[in-house]
Amino acid sequence: MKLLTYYPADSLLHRINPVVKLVVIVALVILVTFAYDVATPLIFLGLLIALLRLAGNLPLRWIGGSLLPFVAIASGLFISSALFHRTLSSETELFRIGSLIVSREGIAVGLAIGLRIMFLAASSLLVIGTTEPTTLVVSLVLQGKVNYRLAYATLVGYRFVPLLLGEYRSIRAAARIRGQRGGVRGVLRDAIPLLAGAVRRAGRVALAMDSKAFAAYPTRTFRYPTTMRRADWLFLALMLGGGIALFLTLIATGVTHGLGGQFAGLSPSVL
Amino acid sequence: MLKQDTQPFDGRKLALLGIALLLVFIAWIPLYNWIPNIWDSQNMDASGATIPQAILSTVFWLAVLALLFALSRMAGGLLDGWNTNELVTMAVLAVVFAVIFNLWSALTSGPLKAFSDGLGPWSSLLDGVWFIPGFLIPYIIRKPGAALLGEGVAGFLSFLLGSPWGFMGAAIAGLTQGIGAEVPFAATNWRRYDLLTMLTSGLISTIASFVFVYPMWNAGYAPEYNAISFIANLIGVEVIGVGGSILLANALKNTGVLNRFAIVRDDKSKVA
Repeated sequence: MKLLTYYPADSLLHRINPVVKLVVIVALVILVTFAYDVATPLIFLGLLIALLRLAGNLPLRWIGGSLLPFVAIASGLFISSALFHRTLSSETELFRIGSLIVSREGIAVGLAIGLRIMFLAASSLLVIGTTEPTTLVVSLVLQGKVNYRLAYATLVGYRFVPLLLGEYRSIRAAARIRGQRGGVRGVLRDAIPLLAGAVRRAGRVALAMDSKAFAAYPTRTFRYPTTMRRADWLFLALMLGGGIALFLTLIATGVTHGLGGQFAGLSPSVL
Repeated sequence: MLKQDTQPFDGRKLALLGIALLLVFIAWIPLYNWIPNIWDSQNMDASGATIPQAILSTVFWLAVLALLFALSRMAGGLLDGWNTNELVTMAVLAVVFAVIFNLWSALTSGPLKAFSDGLGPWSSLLDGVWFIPGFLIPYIIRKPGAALLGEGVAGFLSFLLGSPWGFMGAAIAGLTQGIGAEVPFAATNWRRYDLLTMLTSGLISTIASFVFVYPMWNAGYAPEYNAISFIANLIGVEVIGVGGSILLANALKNTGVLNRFAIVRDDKSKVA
């Protein structure tokens, strides 16, 4: 299941080094994670979408379509955070559903968590939407200093996704012909043939790679090597500086708030 | 088969590096709580994070990211003992779990969310699912770095496929769990894959993961809540993660596809 994909185009964001984009989103995501108000993730999300549209040349319709599945996840988190939060420092009751109190503050925390997920998805889109997977791997090898055998194996894994989904459909169809039902037990029963098929296929791919002398040398060259240009450093400085400056401004103007009291927002180690 | 000039990789060195990184992580929790004492310009909220905490956390995690890149460069020799088949199999098993991770994310934050909220801190039991590749892959392949790379690649691919937790929550979290899971295997110089080593791997991986997520999600909870959450997380990891991995690996072994891997070749260590 590929939720986010690459959008082929030529733009400023498409030309920025992928490792730089990764560092930028890590920093921005950590900053936004500290905010538990509605406005902060909303502002960052809006700016990020504007950046994707203007600097990334991505159509708004495509951005919207990519983020749509995450609305479902965000709504789930919104509803449970709004209903099942624990003690907030103050609560203004709006209405009750049975024994559940729906308060203005609870809804605010729920919205903050939901919008945070949307920001996380949009930040992933900044990297995935504007980066061809092969370029990402090349930059991880050249700038990130990742072992190239590992990087190429990871790329093979990525390319396996449609194959695996196809294989899963065949396994499912075969089970249906034999009159077996689906559901949770069906998924568990299908897991072994799926994994066994994947391991067999991996063996064949590895054989093909070996026969083409993959990893015969400790280093390798690339047809399109990625570099760190002045624009990359500038983008890095601008995004980090701009993000931190915006965050501090929002705190100074009283927009950004931390978490007030305990709540059952995200499951603690759900990461 | 390649790089014949390099020395065999020393497991103890990597184990020490992993433990050093873990200690930095563990030291970060008291340090994080102590920051407001020396630099408390403007409290954001009574129980929330202060501005210095937010900024220093950003700096801290960027430094950890740089350290991880440096580590991956130093650990280049880690893959020397791996053949292409093992490498590709690792990546393919990792991508299966990357897809499962994203389905699990959608499930636990959608339909199952109300149920897991009802569990309170015990909802961490469900988090064992995130740890499976970190035990399954080293249990099958039994080579230096299999836990670290298996879990790390699964997390990275989960990010590439669009995990709702983003790069930090999927890729870096996976790498952190992988570092923890790798430590016991490295300490035995990748010789022992018995139940005790696997369970220790689960314990250290849980600690690494828990410390990693603490400033982001747990700092606002009461200590008792966090204690139960940790224990629930540990039980989930040992039962679903370690136990599930061993069952899955043994079922796969019976199909015969693992005949070229260390899990079948290795008859020195048998798990009860």
